Amino acid sequence: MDSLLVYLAFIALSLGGVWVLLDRLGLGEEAQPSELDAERTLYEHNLPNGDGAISTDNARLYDLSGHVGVVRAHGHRLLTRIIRPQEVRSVERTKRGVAVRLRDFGEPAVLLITDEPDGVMDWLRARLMSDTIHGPSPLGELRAKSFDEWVGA
Amino acid sequence: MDDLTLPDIAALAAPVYFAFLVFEIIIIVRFRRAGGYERRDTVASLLMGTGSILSGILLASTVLAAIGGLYTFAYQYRLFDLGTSWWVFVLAFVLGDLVYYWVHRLEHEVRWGWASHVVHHSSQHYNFSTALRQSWFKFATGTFLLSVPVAWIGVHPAIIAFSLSLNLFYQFFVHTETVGRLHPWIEAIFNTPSHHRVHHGNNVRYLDANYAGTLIVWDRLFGTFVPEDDDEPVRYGLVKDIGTFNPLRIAVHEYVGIARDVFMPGLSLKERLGYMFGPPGWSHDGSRQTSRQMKAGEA
Repeated sequence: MDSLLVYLAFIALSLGGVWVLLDRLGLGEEAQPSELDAERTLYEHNLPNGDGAISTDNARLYDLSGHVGVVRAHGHRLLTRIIRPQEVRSVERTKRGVAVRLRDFGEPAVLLITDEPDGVMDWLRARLMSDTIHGPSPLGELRAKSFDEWVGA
Repeated sequence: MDDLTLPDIAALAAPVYFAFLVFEIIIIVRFRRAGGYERRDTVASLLMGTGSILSGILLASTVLAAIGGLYTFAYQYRLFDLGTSWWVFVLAFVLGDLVYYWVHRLEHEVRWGWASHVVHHSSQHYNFSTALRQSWFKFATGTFLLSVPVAWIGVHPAIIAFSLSLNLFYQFFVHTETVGRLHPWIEAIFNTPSHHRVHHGNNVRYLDANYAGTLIVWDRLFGTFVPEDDDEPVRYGLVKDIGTFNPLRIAVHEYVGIARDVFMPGLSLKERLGYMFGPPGWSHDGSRQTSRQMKAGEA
């Protein structure tokens, strides 16, 4: 039992040490996706970029006619997903911006950091909280162009 | 001889793992080598590893003891008295590695196994901490049954466990981007960082490839080998990445997904079983894609 406690204490100390080390090295900061980063990520995941888009400090949101495409920071990396209205529990204002709460156990919330939460909330509500009957998922669209053509399209 | 006790190398190696992890961080930052660390991702991985060890400790006297009892039972009715010579250790390692290949392949090709193994693939980073991002429910996959024949042949259960721990220890060192390709002979025979990077890729062409533990020859033999292509850099993570660093959510998210699918109203029993034991991505209405379908689409 004593050796187990020593072992666990060692792991706890090492874990704390790694946390501090990574923090000191600046490896705890979130990515700030540029428009090009976001477009490239969408392209790599074979997702459409839609008609209109808005940006927050840590994400870019795309209007996909009844759905919202999101490219957001997840640590250093970018994460993409399409949010359908039926997946949304709520859109709430938080201290740092806006939280879109989802019915997805693997991604329970999309936190959008912004100084203009009202504008972002209005934009999201207009696309996600309406009673519109939505068309088929844009996920089925296939990529057939180069990245440059795709961005320009 | 039946009381043979051997060390669990993988569990005892925590100080080595942490030392190499810090070493890799320094190499990446100081010498700008390939690879990257992110604080929350790394801590999530380390907590998954810690949870994996704790679940092993908690279940040692129940589930794991029962699995050990199963091996001992098979060993009692062994076909050959192989003893504990050095060559038995070598035989056990090779057979264990073959078993590992099929266990690993099943964990990717059957959703119930994937629900456990997905944890290991859930980071978008690829570094030594990713190696430690392990499932808490590995025992639930039932894949331990694949090692029973090895005990029945006559390999002592303690040697089987020792071989597996040695295999897992080896695998820690292939989880890095800081090492490029090794000598062609090594790349031909052994699982290497290059081969295993492919295994962690979510690029369609890299899906379901390179299941090897130590010897890549199994992938070459069974047709699942895919070499790393410099023209297509590996993108790490899942086809649909999870958006959380919460260890509990990482540990159980695929089980939750299975439960949601299995209990959907209006499905037949066959369809419910399909969501549990079919390949990941299988769906009753074709609304999702398996990796095989994705590969066919790409082709």
